[in-house]
Amino acid sequence: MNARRRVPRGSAGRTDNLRIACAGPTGAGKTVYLASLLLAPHFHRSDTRRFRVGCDGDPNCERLLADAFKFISGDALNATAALTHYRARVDLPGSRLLHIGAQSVTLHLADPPGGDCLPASGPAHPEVTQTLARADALLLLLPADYAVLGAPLELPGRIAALGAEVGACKGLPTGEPPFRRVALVLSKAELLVHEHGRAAFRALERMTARPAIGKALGRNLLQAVESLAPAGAVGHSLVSVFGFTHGLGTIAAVPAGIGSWRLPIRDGQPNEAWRPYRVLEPVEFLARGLCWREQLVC
Amino acid sequence: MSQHRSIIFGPTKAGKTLFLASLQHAADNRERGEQGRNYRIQPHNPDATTLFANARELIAGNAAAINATRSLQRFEFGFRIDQGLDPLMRAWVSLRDFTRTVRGLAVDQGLEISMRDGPGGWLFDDSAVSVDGELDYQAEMVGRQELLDDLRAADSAILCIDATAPDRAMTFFRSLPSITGRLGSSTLPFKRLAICLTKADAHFQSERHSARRAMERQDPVARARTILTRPGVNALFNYLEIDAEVVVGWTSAFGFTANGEANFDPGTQSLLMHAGLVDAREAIEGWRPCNVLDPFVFLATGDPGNFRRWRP
Repeated sequence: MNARRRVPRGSAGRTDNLRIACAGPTGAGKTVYLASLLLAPHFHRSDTRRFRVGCDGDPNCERLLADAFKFISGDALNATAALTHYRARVDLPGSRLLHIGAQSVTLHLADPPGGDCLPASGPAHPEVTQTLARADALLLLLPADYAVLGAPLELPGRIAALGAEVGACKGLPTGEPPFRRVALVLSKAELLVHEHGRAAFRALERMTARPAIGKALGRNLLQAVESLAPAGAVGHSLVSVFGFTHGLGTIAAVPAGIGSWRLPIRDGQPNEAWRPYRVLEPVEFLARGLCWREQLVC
Repeated sequence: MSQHRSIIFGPTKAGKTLFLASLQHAADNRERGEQGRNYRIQPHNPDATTLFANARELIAGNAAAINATRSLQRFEFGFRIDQGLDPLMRAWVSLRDFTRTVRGLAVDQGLEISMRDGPGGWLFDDSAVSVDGELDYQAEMVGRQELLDDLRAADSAILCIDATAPDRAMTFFRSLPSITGRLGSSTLPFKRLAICLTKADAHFQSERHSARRAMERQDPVARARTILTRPGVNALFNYLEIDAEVVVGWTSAFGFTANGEANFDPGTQSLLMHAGLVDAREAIEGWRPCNVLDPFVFLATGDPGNFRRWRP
């Protein structure tokens, strides 16, 4: 995510009590992403910028936190079987002096059965639409599998239709962007570089998110997403929940069957080497209109 | 008296109850005026009175007197530190206190500590180690919530972890981030946190007569890092205020004998020297819990004593 990108007046700056909705097609990794957010601050602790992510008393989120440990121990999270609402709170750090700019945002995920917020036909699940309609900002996850398999041709149309539904729910005039900011996140970004071996981390670090996503998913999709927010209020991010093996630079995930991956199992021992890749940056962008691109070392 | 809300927490079988139980004897059995201080501990509720009374049974060789906690108990006691002062300083302090009293200001003479002690497994989801006997599930749910509420409301805390059990790393790895997650994203309000590596006597027992010296030489921070695991340490420090003070140190409820040997009999799980083996006077004076007062002094005054400050 380009921290130096200028954001138009009215879009920049911190937003208190921001409600962020997460959405994405089935297989995008929405639940896994939220699970990784809950644990990420403990595995990648920065002394200068301390994020906190908590369940805020939400029982579904607490169950997800418990499941998150299975995930980093090498198990797979179960696919979403029933509509589940999650609510998590993210505390973003302020300045070192007097914590100026510190703020909290709330993340909401309405995970429908099958996990598909962008169904191929028909409208989205009503509760998904309502969750999106109550949100100020959108975190849209699309899987990097599309770079290999090709994005569904109708995906840009589905995104535009979802935007129109949400706008109608909010009572906005036709054509007006329904969200204040949108973060377009390419999840499973390690798939873009998995053939690079020990150079995988460096290869991903060299990529710039917007052109990489455009190349992977197509310009039409970029344009469809950019219609969901005012000009300049769309951020792009390459994210990997599995991350990279610290000290080696290889992707941390190992194959777990056809089309699926998991973290390596370490005989029941805690996988302290887990380093999720830039999972917090989309949230910070949505909260502030820009984010610090922390220099990572692997 | 200054009121402090403190909580003692840690996984099951970390030795929290015995640690607390040895507190009064530790204060009574110190050399008067040692380090310029005297300590007085006064139980203020039946649970605390019973706990301190049961602890004295250890001198008689009754190891079963202190059992792991099966229900939520609250121990309330006064912890008073009398600073040893020379006559001139004592006169000055008296004049200062008189002036404050005339002005209607409180005169700080000590601490009132309220500690809730619950089964460790209620906060740390530890299916590998369970308290013997039946657990009422409903009571456990209520108790866990009360412990979480106490965590939120406490201004200082003592975290007990078993120094002899590095395999408990999985407990902390799973539980500590989960506990802080259940608290929401608000910070833990602890101004001071003392991490006690309990059972130091058992940990260094193999050193025989050099046990105490070995304990004093070994860095407790390194051991705490190993047991808590990196994500556990990160979770703890992520949720503490930036200016929170954290110390870590070895503690031993059984203590060490005069010749440096651990005063712990692994066969009976009790004192090595007790009234069944030596005369009563020798047993009483020989039981000297090690460093159990230090965390309380730290919570009250900020003086780490024999503990080490930890700034990750």
